[in-house]
Amino acid sequence: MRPELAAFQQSFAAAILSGTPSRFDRWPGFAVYRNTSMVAAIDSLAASYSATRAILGDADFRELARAYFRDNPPATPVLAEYGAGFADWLEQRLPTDRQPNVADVARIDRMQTETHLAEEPDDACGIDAAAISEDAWMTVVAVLQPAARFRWFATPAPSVWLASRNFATPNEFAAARTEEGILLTRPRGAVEALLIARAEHQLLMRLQRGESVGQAAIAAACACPRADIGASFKRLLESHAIHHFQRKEHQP
Amino acid sequence: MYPTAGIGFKPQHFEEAIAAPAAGLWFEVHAENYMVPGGPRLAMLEALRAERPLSLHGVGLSLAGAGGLDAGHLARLKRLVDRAQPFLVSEHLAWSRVEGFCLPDLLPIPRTREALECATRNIDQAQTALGRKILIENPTHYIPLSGHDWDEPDFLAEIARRTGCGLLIDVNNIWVSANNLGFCPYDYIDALPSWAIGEIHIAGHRPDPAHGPKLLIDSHDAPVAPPVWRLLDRLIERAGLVPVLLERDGNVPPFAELMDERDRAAAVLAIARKKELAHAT
Repeated sequence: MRPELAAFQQSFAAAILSGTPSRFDRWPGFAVYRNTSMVAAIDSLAASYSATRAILGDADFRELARAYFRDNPPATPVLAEYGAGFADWLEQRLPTDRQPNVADVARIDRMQTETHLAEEPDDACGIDAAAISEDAWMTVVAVLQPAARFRWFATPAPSVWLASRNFATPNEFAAARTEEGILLTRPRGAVEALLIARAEHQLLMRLQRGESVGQAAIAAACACPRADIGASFKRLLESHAIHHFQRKEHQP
Repeated sequence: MYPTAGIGFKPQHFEEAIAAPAAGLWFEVHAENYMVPGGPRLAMLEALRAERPLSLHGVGLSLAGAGGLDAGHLARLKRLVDRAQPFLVSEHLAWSRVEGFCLPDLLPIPRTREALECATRNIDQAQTALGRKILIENPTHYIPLSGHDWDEPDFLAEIARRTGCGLLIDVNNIWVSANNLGFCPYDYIDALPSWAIGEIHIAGHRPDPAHGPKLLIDSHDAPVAPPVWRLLDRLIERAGLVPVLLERDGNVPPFAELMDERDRAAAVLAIARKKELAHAT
């Protein structure tokens, strides 16, 4: 038997990904295959990176997405997963003096996809927060919602991303160069976004690591001495980032 | 309820879809769109399957891929099948995965002995993993590949014979391919193994913007064209009462408009049923 199928498929795929004419281009219909693959990948990125597209403009976004597809074709047919590395790729690709927030905005777009598609929480209801005494918080951990995503940025990308979500025009995206954090949750089936302060980010980070609520609060207070940690914690509770509380397991 | 004519499900039609009273109405979804950990998509799928028969239509198994199946992707499909309990599971006689990456399309093969053995091996593996029969869809063709050892209907029949799989016959694909490659679509339909046909797809197409009607695109963005309806009549005459699915992926109209088109397919099936009953008595 001639092992020709693999060679055929390799050359066909290479011709689709290549921007230069191939032996298959002698048939006008080959462009349909090339376009279908390309458009499906670009449309998938456009759907996942809507704020990034709004900032770059559709034509520039699609040009970059086309180049990304050629460098990084999907690893899986599940296109919701496609483009996980797009933000890092953009950071390398875009000149540093142009749109310094863009890569970070793309990271938040990705976080939004992850929040939207995250698994449902389990049925654990944990212990009632109202029943936890003040000194018991040192032995209680907070289990975050599987859909919660948060990150601290060295750029004002969170404000830019939120502005884009509110359909601000591109020239409204110019924001002060400040550090910002963002928290994404999915409390009622839809993604909700919240700008967070440094103390709130510190709390989330430490709670996610499994530190007790008391330990996380002390660490956040040390990192942000001027912050009202009680108010920060209350805000996180209201954001639905926390699924439940449970006693910290004893570690020998 | 016996599924007659169905519609490719669109999330924007969710409310109307689960409330639609039409007898025999069913829905098909692309499996890969629901291979996600959780969230509203899966919640919608659960609600839909509680109300209506559901078919899972995969686009990413790469059954004609020389490199074999991606075991991880097959396992995800198995989990989705277990969860959604569809009445049909279908895939394509096509490939999309090569050297560790996936092209989001359904790509053609030369129908050689090697390709036949590759496809039957992959279909066997898929059916074993899923624990059920799957249907394989005929692809759309845009280029006249050479080196075929079989005509496509014979190739599909041989695959069905060897693996026990069924066939999903897309009559729009037949019309578009016949136009692009220059064969008779009615001869193609007459050569199909009717015993293996378990589902039929209908959809719209459009001419290529650069090449016009010489090159038709299986675009799924327009109503079903008159010659495709005529091909459906011919196929139903041969295959009998087989569930028919209306696909629409672009320029998606309101649900009621899709239902009107779907009802036309249901009427074709109703006439076939009457003939079948008259013949039996």
